[in-house]
Amino acid sequence: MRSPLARAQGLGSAKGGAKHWRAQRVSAVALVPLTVWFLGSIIAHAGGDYAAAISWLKTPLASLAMIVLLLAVFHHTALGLQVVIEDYVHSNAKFAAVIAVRLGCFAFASAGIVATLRIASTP
Amino acid sequence: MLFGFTFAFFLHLCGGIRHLIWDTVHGFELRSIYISGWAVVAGSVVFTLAAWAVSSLLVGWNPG
Repeated sequence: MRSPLARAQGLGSAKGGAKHWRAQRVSAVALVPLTVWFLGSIIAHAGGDYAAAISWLKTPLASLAMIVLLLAVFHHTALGLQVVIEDYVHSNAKFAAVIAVRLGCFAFASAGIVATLRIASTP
Repeated sequence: MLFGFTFAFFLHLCGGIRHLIWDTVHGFELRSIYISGWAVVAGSVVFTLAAWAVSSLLVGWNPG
């Protein structure tokens, strides 16, 4: 004999939901100007060569915005894909999938930030 | 390929802004929901074409 509360406990989060929801919105608002800036920069440099792209990324504003964009975009991606997995994956693979998405996004963001910093710091 | 990416980007951007507006408890009348839904589609088409028009003027048409 289990109480309704005991049955519900451990079945879903009643702890971090609001935090997740808010982080998704905050990153979304940040990404509106950041992604439009990125697309605009790509278009402005369309047809340019490798050296032109590198010299653009070396400018302080571009380096900074790129790192902020990488942080926001992969945080937003992980949060969003987690919701998709939680909504549509009903097997035990759900937990592994959420962790894999988290780690993958962390790896991609790290790789992007390292690359940006290397380009920015190379004379 | 890149053209599709551009459309997907703008669709996600416009749809996301629609959700942010809903988060402020605006636009929940059935009529508004239909209008904003089609506005997202139309806006995404317009923004995609505009982005490609600008880049085509700069370097020509090359949608990858």
